[in-house]
Amino acid sequence: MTTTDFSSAGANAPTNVVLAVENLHVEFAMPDGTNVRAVNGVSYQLNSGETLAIVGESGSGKSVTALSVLGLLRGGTIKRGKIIINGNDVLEMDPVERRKLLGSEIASIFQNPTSALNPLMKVGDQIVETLLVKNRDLTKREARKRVFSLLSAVGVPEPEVRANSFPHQFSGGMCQRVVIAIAIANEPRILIADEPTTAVDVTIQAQLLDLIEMAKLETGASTVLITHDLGVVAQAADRVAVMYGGRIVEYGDVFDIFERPSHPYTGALLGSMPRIDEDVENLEVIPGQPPDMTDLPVGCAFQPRCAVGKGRVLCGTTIPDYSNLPSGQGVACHYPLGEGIPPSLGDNQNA
Amino acid sequence: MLESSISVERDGGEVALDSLLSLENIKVAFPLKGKFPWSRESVRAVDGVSLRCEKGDVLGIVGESGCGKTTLANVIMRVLKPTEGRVLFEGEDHAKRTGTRTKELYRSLQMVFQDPFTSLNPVLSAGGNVMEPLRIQRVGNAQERRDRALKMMAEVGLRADQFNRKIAEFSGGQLQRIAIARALVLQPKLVVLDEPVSSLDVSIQAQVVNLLLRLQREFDLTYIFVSHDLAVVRYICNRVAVMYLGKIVEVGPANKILSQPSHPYTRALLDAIPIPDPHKRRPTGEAVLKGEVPSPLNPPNGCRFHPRCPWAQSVCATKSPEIRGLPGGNDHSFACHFPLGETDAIPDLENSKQRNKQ
Amino acid sequence: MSAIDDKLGEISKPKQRSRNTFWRRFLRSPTGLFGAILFGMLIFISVLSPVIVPYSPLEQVSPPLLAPSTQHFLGTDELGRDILSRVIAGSRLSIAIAVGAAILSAIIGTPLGVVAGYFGGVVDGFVMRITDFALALPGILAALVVIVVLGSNAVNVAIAIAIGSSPAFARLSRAKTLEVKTRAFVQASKTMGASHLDIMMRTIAPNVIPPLVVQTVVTASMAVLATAALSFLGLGAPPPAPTWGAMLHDANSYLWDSPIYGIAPGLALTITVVAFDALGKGVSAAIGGASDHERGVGGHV
Repeated sequence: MTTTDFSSAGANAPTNVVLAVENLHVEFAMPDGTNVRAVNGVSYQLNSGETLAIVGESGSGKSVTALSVLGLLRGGTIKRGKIIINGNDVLEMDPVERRKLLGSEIASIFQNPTSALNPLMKVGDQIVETLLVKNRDLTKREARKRVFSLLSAVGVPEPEVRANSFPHQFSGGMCQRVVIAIAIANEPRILIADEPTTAVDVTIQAQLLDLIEMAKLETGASTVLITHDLGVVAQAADRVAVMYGGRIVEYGDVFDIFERPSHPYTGALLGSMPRIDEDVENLEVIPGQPPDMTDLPVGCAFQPRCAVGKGRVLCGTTIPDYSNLPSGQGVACHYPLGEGIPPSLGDNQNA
Repeated sequence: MLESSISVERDGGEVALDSLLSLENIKVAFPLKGKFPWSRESVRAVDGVSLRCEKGDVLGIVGESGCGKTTLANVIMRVLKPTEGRVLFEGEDHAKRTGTRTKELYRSLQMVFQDPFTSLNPVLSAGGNVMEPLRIQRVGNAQERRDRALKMMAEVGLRADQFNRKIAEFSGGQLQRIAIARALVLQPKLVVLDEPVSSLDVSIQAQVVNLLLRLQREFDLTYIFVSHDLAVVRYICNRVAVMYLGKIVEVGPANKILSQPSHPYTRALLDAIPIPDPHKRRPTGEAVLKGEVPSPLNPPNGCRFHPRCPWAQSVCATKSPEIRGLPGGNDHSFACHFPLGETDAIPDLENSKQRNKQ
Repeated sequence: MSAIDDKLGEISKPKQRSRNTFWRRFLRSPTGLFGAILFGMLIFISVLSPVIVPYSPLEQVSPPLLAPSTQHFLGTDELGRDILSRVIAGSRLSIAIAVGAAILSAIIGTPLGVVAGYFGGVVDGFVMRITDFALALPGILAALVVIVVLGSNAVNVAIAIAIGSSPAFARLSRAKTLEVKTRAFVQASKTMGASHLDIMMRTIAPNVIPPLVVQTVVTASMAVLATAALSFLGLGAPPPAPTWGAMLHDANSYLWDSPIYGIAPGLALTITVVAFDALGKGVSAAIGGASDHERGVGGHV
């Protein structure tokens, strides 16, 4: 898989690339001997001030890429690839340097708020712990002030009181607010949010998405938002990377992706979603199952389920390379949508 | 035909014998072990729900966590006894069924659970799981059960060679199909589905949703579809009941309610859903419902939603609204002093008082 | 489990599970393999003992207390019986009693635990107090009482040991029942109209079994020693039955004259216990990660 060049993707040439992932390959060795190829050649760039959404279903590899960037991969090995932050390849760095860089430049928000917080520490103390990472000389008074202002910024009522509470005394939504407070405490340049709203109700989700957006605007952080929810993507993202079978299959500006999806998977996914804002006559169904990551097919991972590629020799034998379309979108497909090739059983039947 | 109202006394009065399922003023309170043995604090998970479900309906019950919808589902399935009120299924009171009548209930009433990984018995094969209801209800002999199970599995799109496979070998979507086959193998009349697609991948959800619709038409089923996903509910349901903190706040035709709700909570719920279309983005910080659902231990006085309601008036804090229908019928009821009008107007507090005078 | 573990667990949950995961894990455990081989050999010896003994274990065939020789591999005891033959014959008794006791205690203890866990409340309290009582009694003393009452033979030894080991099964099955009964498929059984008995026997019990298998093997291991101890005290199968415990007792008087007399049954006991233990370790490793579907990464025991 060649490294990909995203400089033409999106409407404007990006001015400042904050995070670049190049040709990442990650594998997990399972106890029963099989090998899960979770990520198979993923490359993307995060530009300054933007929100990049990485969309995919379970097993697509979207979370593993994020965990790799954060250096939190346990049980998995990065087989190949580069992760470049501030011009340095994180994977080549000295571990101490890397930890310092990651701790001060990147913050993360995960799906389950209660397990992200230390149940034995007061919430305020956990925020202070984070603050001390960047500024070891923080006085108690300064720390307290920062804690209160952070808590009120994320919308925790009565911050002076709540700072002395423990996580179990908070609801899920409140915990997630605390997690966000911790994340923005050191004004990180990069924020990685992995399914941050999946575990909360939809009204709380709306609040949290707003909060993350506001936090982003105030700190100037760039955000990688990992989700399976296309509604969240449409709501929050500037650019989108669609993942399937451990690879990015489509990449581009959020408006382009939703209006003119190029990859059959993206198109089918959009067509298979029931809508709240309009009546849907018939849901398009994507047949089959997500791929078995221990046993990926030889060619394109989506081919078994693809209305366009089913039966086509090329799709069955060759993994599509990533290419940039004239519209600015990037897609990894032999027969992208909208290129004038109607979905058919294929010119040559695949055996 | 209006929904039965909470305020109407039903002792000795008319009983809705024609509805397939009728819930009358159901209340479920879970007692809490207080600090003192005499403290009788309880969580009112369901606090006065009346609902009717007719044959052929696909009735959605929606709400966020803590609204009581799963508790209600358990009451409908008779695995939980309500603290007050009664459940009538095919005209018969759940509480009055004893002995064999209890067992017979489940020939007509079945359930599909949320998590397919834990709702199937891991010790049995796929076919074994589908045959379980037949075995428990002593239907047919071994061969007949096997045949029926095979047929049902084919209906849900599973192959005969998967009959003997262990549960651990299937994916989530396939497991949910097995669970659906199991629920339908007795050919029930009413199936309660508790978040049946919520734990499935998005690309699989459509498969299962369409399957459920097809099976409903083919076997003339009635569904009660409990979910938090309003888009799926809009697609599959003809009627919907919206719950908040143990009460029904709005109920009626699904398409109407999910596009032109009368209750402010339904409106807020709809507005909060992110639409998969970047042109329809909700601007940051705008019109998002504030606050969180209050603890069911201590629900607010008056209308339970009033602390978060952008349209609340002073009466909302003191008097709990009764559920009532719109003049003109059409079976759409709600519990609100100042229901939203027919348009999507921004809250106009002057007019809201006039609206109520109609 | 931290947020990261949740995520990693999700990622590495394999969609297809081989049916042979149990055996594969078992075969990967060196201790388990060792135990299985040893156990296999012991079974072989005990089953075939009447055939492979060089001499009859009950008859006097040579002068007493002979040193080991080519004719009597382990020498003879004080009554002139071949020690090797008696050790081999004794394996049958020891293993049979141990396995019997283990299975019996599983049969006694498991239903008690399942009933207690399933119903909870008063029933649970009642059953647990009974097991507490059984646990509180000192083992040997309790066994003594049982044997005095029922008589001193192999079967009663098994019964006595079983009674003493069943509380462990009750505890274990109760704990597992509490865990299993919260799972949706148990509620599903209820909504199919299953009776309590049906749910306990057909739905809960089969799912409770895996840790009990390990417990059975562990109990068997302990039972081997317990049997020997009881026989040593004269409470086991009566003479001239060639139990290892009785042999140890008899050998006690002749430690200087024929040390091999005492070493032989002792060694046999040790090997048997080691075999059961190793087997138990292997089974434990094989079951450890394989049973729960929810487990993702991990399962290395």
